[in-house]
Amino acid sequence: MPNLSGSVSFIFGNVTVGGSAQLTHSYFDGTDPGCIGISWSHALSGPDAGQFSVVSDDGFSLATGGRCGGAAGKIVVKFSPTSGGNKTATLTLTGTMTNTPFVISLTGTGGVGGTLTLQPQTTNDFGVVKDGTASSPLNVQAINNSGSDVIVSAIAFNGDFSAGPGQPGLPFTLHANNADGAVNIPVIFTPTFTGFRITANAVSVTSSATNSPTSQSMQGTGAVIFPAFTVSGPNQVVLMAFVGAMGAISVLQVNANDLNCEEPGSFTRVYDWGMPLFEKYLGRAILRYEDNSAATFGCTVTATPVGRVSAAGLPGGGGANDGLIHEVFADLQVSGDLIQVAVSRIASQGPMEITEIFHEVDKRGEVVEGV
Amino acid sequence: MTLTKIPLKSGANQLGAPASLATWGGVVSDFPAPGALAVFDDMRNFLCRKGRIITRPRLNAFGAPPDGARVRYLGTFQDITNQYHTLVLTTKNAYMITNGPVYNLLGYPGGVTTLDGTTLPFSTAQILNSLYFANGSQPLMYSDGSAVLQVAGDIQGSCQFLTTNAQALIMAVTTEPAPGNVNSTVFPRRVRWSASGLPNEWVTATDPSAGFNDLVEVPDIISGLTTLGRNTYVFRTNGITVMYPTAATGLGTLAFAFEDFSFAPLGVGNLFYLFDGSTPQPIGYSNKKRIYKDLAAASGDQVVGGILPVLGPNFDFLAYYLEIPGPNVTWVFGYDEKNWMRIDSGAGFLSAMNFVGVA
Repeated sequence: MPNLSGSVSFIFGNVTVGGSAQLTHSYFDGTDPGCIGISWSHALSGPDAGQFSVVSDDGFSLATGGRCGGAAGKIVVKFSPTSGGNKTATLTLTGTMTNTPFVISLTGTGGVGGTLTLQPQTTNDFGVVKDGTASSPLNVQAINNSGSDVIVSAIAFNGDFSAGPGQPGLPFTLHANNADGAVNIPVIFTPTFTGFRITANAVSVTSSATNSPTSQSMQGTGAVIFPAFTVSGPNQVVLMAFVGAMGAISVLQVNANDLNCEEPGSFTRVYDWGMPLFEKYLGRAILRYEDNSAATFGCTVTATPVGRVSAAGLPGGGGANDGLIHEVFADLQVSGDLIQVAVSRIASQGPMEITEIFHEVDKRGEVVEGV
Repeated sequence: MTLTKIPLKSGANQLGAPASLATWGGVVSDFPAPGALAVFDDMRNFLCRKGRIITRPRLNAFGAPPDGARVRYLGTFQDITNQYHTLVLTTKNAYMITNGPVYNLLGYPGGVTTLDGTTLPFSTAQILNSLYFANGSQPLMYSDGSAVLQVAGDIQGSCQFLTTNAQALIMAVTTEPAPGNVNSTVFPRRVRWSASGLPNEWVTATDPSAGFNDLVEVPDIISGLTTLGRNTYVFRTNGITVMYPTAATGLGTLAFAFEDFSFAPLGVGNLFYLFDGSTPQPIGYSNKKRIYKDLAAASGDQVVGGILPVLGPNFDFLAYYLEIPGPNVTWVFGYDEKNWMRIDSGAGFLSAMNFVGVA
């Protein structure tokens, strides 16, 4: 009669919870010269039978043809621990061999270890999101920096936070020492009412890690609107919109730090003494200016109706952007009913600032009096 | 009576020496020197600020709206989420500026496809973190900071002037119903206000604190609208009507009371006033005729005015700007120096300006 021989134990060792391992053992009929053949069936039993499964068993196919001449029949057993600790079970082969039932012990250890880290890829704050609308996704990264593999078996979302598109397939393994890099878990924020929302376990990951379940806090603010096209308030400038020739539209920005003058400018001060019976006399006129460029500008003094014109020409920058105060007209003496002091600036000749126009008035001339 | 001519003595006053009338014989010394009272200035493209006469700031290029239409409004407001938005209204479209600048086209509510209609500038008012605007061409609309404009609830139509008072949005010179609808009519004497705290509720039957008043007791029409303190001033062509909230509001009770004042005691011909809430102060000064001359030559667009407190960060310059197309000049009245400046630019004439956030 045939006699089944082979290993009587499957020893799986440590297998991470949530993971699995397979072992294959061969069984022989070494005592069947007549080639009668063997067939058997199997059964799992024991306290942890649920942790083991028979993947394949040649014994079923030996029922009609059998094996002889020392041919091997294979049995593949899988160990899939769902919790930590030692697991034992028994695989019993019952068949036509003389040593039936053939009892095989199954042992293994459900391994728990490693640490799963969750972190926002950029931020955990969705900002302001309109009530009832889904935000753009933010990624939470799952990382295993520990020395043990971690198997992720489930991902849950809580509060107003839900799964975004492109979720990782479950389960997946994060091998030790961040060998796989970060795995992104997309999250969406859909506020149910207005106001700030924060959920400590917005993303909760169940894994084989010792810190399972692992949570990531997410936050956001529900609002009655979804703000669009925002700007930062403090970055303000004066904008001027112009309509030019042929309807050309231009928007210009005032550069408050540059007092350059792109357009020709002029300043005129007219002294009208208002006393026609007297000759008027401007004994001294001083124009003080701070020229911030090397360009020149024009200054003239005109008196009417006397007709005397005294021009101060075009004083230079007086040091070319030296930041000092300069004077013109200091010794000027003109007379007339109207005395005009004019400063003109050619376009694009740089900035200037007139700090003071001082005049010292005297009056002289014909006086008509009654006798 | 005979007249005697007193000859002029020759000689010049010494520089730096005090002017001494006794130096000159025959000079009548009982007339005080006229001094600065008879001094007047004229400026072009200079600004008078903090005692200095300065060239105006440089104008750098900033991107124009892609529709190529005239810009009628630039402004920044804060929405209910405390986010800032810079709204740009052209004669055709509404945009929001973001960093770049990028002009982001806004969507329209149902029934509105464009802002086109009139050439009038937009009047705006901010209430409840939204910016309301109208220029008489489309129904009163607002931006709440989202990507689409909204119509102001059950608004009856459009208007040319907007302000707020007592938590009500107030509009004047209304067009009811909105342009484009049957029987659409302009009411140049009408002031209409929303329900208190509800700028999108305008029907009295729904909320009795909403209402309207036609200023039939005055002969002129409304030319402006603003609020100072608790009073809203309805500017008319020949005076001011003051409206202020009454203590009692409710069914059958007018939410606002109105009082009329005339410009007549202040003289005819004063177009420019500085108003602090008590007495309008004419500010045309000696430039009045020149401004009138430019106004008479206005052509090609609307004459518009506005107040701007600054010309940039750390560049305070509270001034009133009167833009006159045609001559393409801007008369600027500086509040601190109390004088007028005449500004022009090769870029043309101003159609809008404001201090806004752009990045």
